[in-house]
Amino acid sequence: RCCASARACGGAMAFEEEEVAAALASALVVLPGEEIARGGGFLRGHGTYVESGPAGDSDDDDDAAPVADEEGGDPSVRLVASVAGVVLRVNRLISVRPVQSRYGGDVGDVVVGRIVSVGNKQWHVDLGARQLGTLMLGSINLPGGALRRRTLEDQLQMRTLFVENDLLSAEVSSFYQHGGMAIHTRSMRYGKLANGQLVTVSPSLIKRLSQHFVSLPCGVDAIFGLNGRIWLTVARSGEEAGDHVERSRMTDEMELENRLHAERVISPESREAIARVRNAILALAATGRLVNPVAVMAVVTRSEELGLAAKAMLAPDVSDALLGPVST
Amino acid sequence: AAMPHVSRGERRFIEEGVRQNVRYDGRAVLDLRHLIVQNGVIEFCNGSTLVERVHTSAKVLVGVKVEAVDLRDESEGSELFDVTIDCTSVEAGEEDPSQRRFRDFSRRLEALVEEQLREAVGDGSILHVVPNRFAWSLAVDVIVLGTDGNMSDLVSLAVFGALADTVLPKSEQIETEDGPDFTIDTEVSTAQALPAALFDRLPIRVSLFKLCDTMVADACEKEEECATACLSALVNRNGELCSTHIDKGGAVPLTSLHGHLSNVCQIASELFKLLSSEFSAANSAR
Repeated sequence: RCCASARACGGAMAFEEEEVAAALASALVVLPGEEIARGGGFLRGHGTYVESGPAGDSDDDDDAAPVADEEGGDPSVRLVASVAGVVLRVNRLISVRPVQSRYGGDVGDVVVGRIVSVGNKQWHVDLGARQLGTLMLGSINLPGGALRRRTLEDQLQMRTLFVENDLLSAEVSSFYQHGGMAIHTRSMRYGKLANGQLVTVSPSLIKRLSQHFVSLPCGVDAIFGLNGRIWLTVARSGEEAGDHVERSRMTDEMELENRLHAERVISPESREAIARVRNAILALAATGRLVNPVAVMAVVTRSEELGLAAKAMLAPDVSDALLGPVST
Repeated sequence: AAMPHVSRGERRFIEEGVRQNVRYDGRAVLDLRHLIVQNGVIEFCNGSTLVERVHTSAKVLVGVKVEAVDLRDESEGSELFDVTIDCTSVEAGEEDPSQRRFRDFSRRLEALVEEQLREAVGDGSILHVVPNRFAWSLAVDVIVLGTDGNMSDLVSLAVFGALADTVLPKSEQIETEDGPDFTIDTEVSTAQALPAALFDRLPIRVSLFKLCDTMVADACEKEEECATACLSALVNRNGELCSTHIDKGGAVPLTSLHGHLSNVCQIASELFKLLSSEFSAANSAR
């Protein structure tokens, strides 16, 4: 599904005006098999392959390699896209960034992941990327906010912190040479997630926001992970958000609050609100629209105006009525 | 469609929601997810159906091919249907090769579908073209394209739909020197559906999953993972129970069994209404 296009689909999503103008001016969107360049003078990047001549062999889509150096090289050499996406040119390197792909990640991204295994001084975390992420024992906040070296005892008690299948929010801190991500939870806002539900959408539908930890007006707290995972839970009491800087020192209070939140009984009305937000996210994702707090609240508000129950939002015949006036 | 993973926090959320009758998507405990049923999706099959659950990855494609067989060549006790279930597209998406559970899952699904067809076909006389001589044999191919919990019910719905979409060539019994035989009219316009009596007997499967002493219908993968028992029953369109199973190693109290089975029959009746409306719409479009 092509979400941003100057050529392909006339009904592209609405961006900010200046972003739209910039995107339209420079974007070249290609489909698999479309020719991007001919002749020589280019380096083949990801998402492309070379066809040479009428009986030409087409190379596998490997890492960049010089193909033809001379200007005006063999005109039968064609650089062809192997995925659908946007063409990126950096000097002579031409690559195609696919519209939908696995989460690639950037340093500083807020992500929601699931613990896959407990290893030696580290946890392996499923982030929906090409490789499992790594959460080192030294990259987490110890209980009680202790600031000390991790000891052998800490290694032996890792399961008291995170076990398999636990969900957590974290930030990408760096990349390993093999491409895997290292994540950390070195802030009180990150850590284990409890008493809520996870919604998964394509990572391409979630863009970087000013705030990924959002308190929606309908009484739902959401974490928009850039890896396409969104955590929904009932809104906590108001005082914590503003006092974050001070509370970061009051780890005991934060930990107590987290424990109380995990054991809290959520009312049916709050559950209905969480379900409504969840269904709004899925309705947006099904039509390829960007998922962000503004769009989600627009769909939620529209569903309330139409008098739809949360469970009715996913009916196939209400999608147009629900999403028609929504722009992202 | 990797193996469902449920954290303790998610499990608590799901179980509390079931207790309060507000599930993760706003449904009540006995509400079903929305379905889309499309018939005639495979042109070269005698009948086919694609069934999917809206806004989930659950999708099942069923194709039915029909063949005339000589009953003298069939071995004693052989059945007039053959079921194959293919879960490879879902299995390939399993992240961890050691967790590839769909091989066993497809065998289990085959057994469930065979049970469903056995109820309809019975001794096979309903499919005879020439009594005790020639009969139609049904080859039912099921391809599971995606899963999101409660797949046995979705597969049984799709099988029902594909059989309802199936057309047979018009046949006429004749007498020959070698005994009774039959001829087939190859005109598509004269093709006819399977005998109506078969559909009176053909059941669909409805399953209830036990979470925290509450029985939940049409559970998603995570709810199924949290469930301690599964009560599944085959119900035909007359509201008659054909068979029941209790799976997942759990138990259902006897005192509440009648109530649960009544709910199962009620849900089956809603599904039959949906199927009949879909097929009457499709037939009028033809």
